[in-house]
Amino acid sequence: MRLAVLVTLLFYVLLAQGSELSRPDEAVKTYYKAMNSADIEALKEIMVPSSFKITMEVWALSKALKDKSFAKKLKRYGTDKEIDLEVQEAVRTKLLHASPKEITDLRVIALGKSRCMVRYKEDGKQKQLFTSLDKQVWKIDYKAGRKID
Amino acid sequence: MLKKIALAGMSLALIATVSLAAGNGKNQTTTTSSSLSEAQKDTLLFIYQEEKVARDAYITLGEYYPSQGVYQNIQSSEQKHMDSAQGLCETYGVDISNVDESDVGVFVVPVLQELYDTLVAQGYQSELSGLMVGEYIELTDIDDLEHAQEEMPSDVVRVYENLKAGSYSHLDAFRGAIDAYNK
Repeated sequence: MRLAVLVTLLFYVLLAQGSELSRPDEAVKTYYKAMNSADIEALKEIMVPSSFKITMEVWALSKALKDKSFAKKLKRYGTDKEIDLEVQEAVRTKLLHASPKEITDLRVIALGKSRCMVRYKEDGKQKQLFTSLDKQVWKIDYKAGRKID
Repeated sequence: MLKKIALAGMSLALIATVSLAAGNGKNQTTTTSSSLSEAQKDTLLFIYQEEKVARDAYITLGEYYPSQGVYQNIQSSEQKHMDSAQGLCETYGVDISNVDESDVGVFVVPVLQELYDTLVAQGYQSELSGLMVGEYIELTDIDDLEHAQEEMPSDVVRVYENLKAGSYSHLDAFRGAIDAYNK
């Protein structure tokens, strides 16, 4: 019985530590770190699936606009593993050639219990990203821009 | 890309309007605004911003190619789409105060800035590239609408068909301009 209580307590302590480590501003920093290092897997980890898909589609668009065959594949993104990997590789290549971006002045604004907006400067320009809580982890969620709960 | 959901929202507003118009007899005014889920409301806000991408791309390319009239006609239509999306946000209590509509080509959400920059950079390559960017935007909208029709009730589908007809009209305009350019 005592052991069960101890295990439960340990679980909640670890959970609390995990939440502390995944603050919304940390999610934004991780997002930029992943973008700057063209780390698609890290990007996938820190974003909700729908936002990750949008990110891939947008960053692959420049290639699709120049390459009709690739454009057809991009339309099928999310339906075929091979195509997904090809699109992600195209994005990775583009990110590798993009100038790394520096972010400063991060400010977290709560939009409810499970949502936060992070305002910051990207190379001096005002930007913002939204985050939502997904299984105790704050993730980038482009659509979580409304205040709820 | 996500315009389909904005259009879904617009459809709901249109349905409400149609219902009001149908009940134009005395003492027959009824409001049938459908309620939206939280996810749909989230999408409305994102779509409102995405509408701005298309509008701003057409404004910018229209300024870059002033002799190409197709942008002028379509950007006013895109403004109407954006106004509809804004109206929907207001109707459903979605706060859009973080979006500055007046600043053409400026987006606070990085992925939307990237989308706009990509479209415009491609459009700057040549007048023909610019027209093909327009064609791409409209084709994507039509494709999105096709998908958006799935799982929607028949009355919403009817409105989608009308909106799709609008996108086809824009597509024809771009293709006409492409043909004229190639002659």
